[in-house]
Amino acid sequence: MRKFMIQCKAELKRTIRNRRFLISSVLLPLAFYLFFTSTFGDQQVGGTTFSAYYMISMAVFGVMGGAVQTLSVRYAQERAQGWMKTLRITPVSHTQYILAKMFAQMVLSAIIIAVIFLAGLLVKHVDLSIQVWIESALWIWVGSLPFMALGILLGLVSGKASVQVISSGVYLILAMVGGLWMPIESFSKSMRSVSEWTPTYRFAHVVWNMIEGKSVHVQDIIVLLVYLALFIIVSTMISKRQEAVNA
Amino acid sequence: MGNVIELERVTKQYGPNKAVDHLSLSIKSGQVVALLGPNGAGKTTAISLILGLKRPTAGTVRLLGGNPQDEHIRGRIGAILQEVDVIDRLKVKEVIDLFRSYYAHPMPTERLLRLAGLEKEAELFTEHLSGGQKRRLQFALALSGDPEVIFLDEPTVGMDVTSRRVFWEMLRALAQGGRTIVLTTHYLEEADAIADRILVINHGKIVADGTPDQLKGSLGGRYISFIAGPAIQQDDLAALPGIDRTEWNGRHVKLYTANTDSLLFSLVERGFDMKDIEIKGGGLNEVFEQVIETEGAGIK
Repeated sequence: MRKFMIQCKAELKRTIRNRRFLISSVLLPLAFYLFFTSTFGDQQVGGTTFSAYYMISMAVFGVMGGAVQTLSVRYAQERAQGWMKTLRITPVSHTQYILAKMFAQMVLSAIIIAVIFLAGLLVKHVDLSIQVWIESALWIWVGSLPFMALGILLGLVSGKASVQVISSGVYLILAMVGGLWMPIESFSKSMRSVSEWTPTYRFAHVVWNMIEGKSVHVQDIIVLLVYLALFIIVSTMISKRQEAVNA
Repeated sequence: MGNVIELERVTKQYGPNKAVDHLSLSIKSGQVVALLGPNGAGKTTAISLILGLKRPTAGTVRLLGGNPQDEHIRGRIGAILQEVDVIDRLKVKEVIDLFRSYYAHPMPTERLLRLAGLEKEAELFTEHLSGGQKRRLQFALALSGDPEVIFLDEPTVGMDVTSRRVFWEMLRALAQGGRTIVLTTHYLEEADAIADRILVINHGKIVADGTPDQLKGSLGGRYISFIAGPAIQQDDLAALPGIDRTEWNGRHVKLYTANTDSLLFSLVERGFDMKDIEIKGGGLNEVFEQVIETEGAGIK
């Protein structure tokens, strides 16, 4: 356990020292939130205010982006630089190592959620019950799992040079199509049906429902679980094949 | 003492090529062994097989009496691999402490920094280190678990003269502590200076095996060379006692022998017409070249 915490701490330090992470996963969502809510803040979206709705969108956007980008870039680089090979001759198992990375990422996710939620509460005076605040924060935190798995998968299939472009592309497309930047109510009908298949939409939809006082759709959770399983299965298959080639 | 490393008829095949070909060897505890050979000889593949990074096509590999992929075996070894970079955005000291956390009985951080000569660089970020400093950091990482067996794959490549000297000193100190050290190198001086056993590898096979002195002595690296006068016939020289091999280069002759002293006496005794006589005392370089050229036929 001590071992695990030291590994997590090292991963945390490395991410926090990365300015790119700070900008794209914390400052960008925060800036988007403050800017767009100042423009459309009083409008109603679904059964809630835009300030509340977009607070959720941006928290999801930051957490998702951090998970996909940090994990994929880090993992691809470490594979390319032979760091994974170095670890294979230490007593640390590959699984332990990946879990430590994911755990560190979850600590960062908690920070991103806190920053955006505090901006909503203190700057935009978002009014929610304590229960909804806690539930939605917890959901965003746990619901980031499929995106961490996606980050690992992208890190596994991309090279050191291509990983930045691939992961940024995937993350921006998922954010846009999933309706994190603009509510999918404003999309065309065909676009909307595409959105509904993205993991990002399903991820955020759970929390949008929470703050609107609606019940959570089981369908959303099933789609996310299927994505999670898919990413893990494909990663395992690719990793097995890469091992066989290198052995 | 028992064998720390045992390879039994190990073959590693890539398509039609055998990187390692029916390699059998055993290394005893406390030995300092150099795997010496030209590029592409199979040294790195041999190390990777011993470390369990690659699986043999045939044969068995035992490290510390067990499977190199077992966690508890990996806790007792350390290695510097080739073409490996250290993770970034951590300070030297932080990476070392991270690595120490992997092992049950790690060496103290201060000692690792001192051994690797990185005391002044402890607070530097790894991405700001020079190539040689990075290599020394890898050395500190390889030692962080206080390993019984240390593997070093071309450890001094990319090191400047100072780094290399510091590194050799460290290795000697470590060897005195009773650790088993296995290194690959294509620097002969390195093998000669550090190892108490040299395995010459070429085309995936061991072509010579012995102490540096044994190799120098038994392999006939010693020779006498001179410019032969027109009266000297090839047959005259071939008839001399104790000659292993004769090389003619125009009128320039090289006579290989285990005993250069007695050969010189016989040459002078017979009154051969010779100019520019030179005696070469069997450096490892010559041995190495000879072994590689003749594919080690008949030597071992």
